[in-house]
Amino acid sequence: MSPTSSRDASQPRLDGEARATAPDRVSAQMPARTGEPAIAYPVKQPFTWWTRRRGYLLYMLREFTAVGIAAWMLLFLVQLARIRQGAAGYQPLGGPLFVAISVVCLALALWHSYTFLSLAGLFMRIPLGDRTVPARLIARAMFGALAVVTVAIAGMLIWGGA
Amino acid sequence: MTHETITLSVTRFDPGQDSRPRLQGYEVPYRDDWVVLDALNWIKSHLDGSVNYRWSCRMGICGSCGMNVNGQPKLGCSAFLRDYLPGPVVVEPMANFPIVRDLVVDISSFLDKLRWVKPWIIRDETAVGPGEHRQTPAQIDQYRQFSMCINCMLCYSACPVIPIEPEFVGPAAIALARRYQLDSRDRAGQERLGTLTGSDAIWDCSFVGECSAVCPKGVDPAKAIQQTKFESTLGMMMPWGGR
Amino acid sequence: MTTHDSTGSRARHVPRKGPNRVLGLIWAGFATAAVVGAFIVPAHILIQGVLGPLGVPSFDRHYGTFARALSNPLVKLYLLVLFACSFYMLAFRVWYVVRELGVPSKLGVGLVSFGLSAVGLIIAGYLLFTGP
Repeated sequence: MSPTSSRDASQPRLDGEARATAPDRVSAQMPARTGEPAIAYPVKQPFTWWTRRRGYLLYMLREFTAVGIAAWMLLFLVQLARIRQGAAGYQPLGGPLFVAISVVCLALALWHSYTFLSLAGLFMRIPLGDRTVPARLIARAMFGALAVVTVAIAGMLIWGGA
Repeated sequence: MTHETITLSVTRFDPGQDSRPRLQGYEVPYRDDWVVLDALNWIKSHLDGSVNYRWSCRMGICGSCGMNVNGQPKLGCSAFLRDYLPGPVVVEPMANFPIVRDLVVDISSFLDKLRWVKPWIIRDETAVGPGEHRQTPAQIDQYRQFSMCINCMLCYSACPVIPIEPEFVGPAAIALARRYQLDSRDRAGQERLGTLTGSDAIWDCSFVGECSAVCPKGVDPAKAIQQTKFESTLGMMMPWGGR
Repeated sequence: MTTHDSTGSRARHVPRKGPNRVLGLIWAGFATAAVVGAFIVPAHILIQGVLGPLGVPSFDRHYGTFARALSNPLVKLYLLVLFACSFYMLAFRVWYVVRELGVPSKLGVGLVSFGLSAVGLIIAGYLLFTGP
């Protein structure tokens, strides 16, 4: 056997005696393990995650606009069902409660229009020469179109009732 | 009002001993120009050498020291103590990654996702020709913003989709894919688009948008994902769509 | 597939390759519904829901004008689009948000949300096309 240097002496020896005692020495150095084996700890997302950041809250509000819009459409369905009662029995939805609900739904619908149309510039990458059309320009065009379409539809709805 | 000290509540977790992470308080000297990382280094030098965390450059370049500071995804080296007065400052590991020990999380899933989108330039030619592949400033501007990613994974920490869809390729990897999609030198557009439109990529995104809000380098991963959604659905439905 | 090695870390992450045309079409439907809805929904709520009850002559305030408008098949079709956009937006957004709030099943939540929205659309179609 070749002479061992001082550096080798600090390494675990590979003779039979050392190999037999090695596991005990290792376990003596290790902290006692309790419960689960040593694996990475998985973290769950709490139910209230959306309250942690303003951006999360705004996201939830944006998604909630769909509820407001669909809720108002259900009221419109009620209106459509009522017309089946004939000319004498037809009673359109009205009253302060209906108007109040509609105002809330309108606010949500407008918020949907604002958020979605202002994001149109982010979705679309329209080449213009060797550049792209600025996102803000696309959003402005969308808002302009919203104003035109709203006036047109509003005009039709009122013209149909006049 | 001057502050002598400030308290840091740091997550401690030893997988060999603890069944769940816990918070441990440390009182550190308060300095106006100290960031959370400075405070952690002071704790490690003076109070408790057993605290584990990743860090390297101290200047927002390496992307190693991502952590949750008072519940918000931050680089430890850019979160100034003065913004959290009077404390305590709660320092936790980045959310949405399994905790290995203390503030160190298991990032192997991200490394796999990154590799999967092939974030490098892919060319057709087999031999390297003479000269450079030149680009105009306008061509560089197409992707420059997406190329600023430092892989700090704060966007994964801010994304509420990652915990419910762990296989979701996620913001940074898709932003980097987009960076090469928009690079005039790259030739793997269709191949990468095929991978991005799979079941674990862009369609998992519900566009919360906070990936872009937390990015310390001003990258906009949400934009990369939405643009890829838009362009790929055009490509699926319109005969003239696609690239 | 998720596997763990002895250290507990995930050994390999291999996302599924695409394109997934079903998910793409579901999203394309949402984008269309959301943009069309963004344009046409506010006008209806404003006129029919707010100004109509306050005295502006909206078409649905009286039986005569309402029935006359609905006798036009183009109006029926347009209103069906209005309902379709609104209900589809709801289904799509609920599909994501409910899962983000902790309900685990992608398919289950999808079937319920899109199913309910389809029921709403069928009711709308029935009322529109069998009414006066």
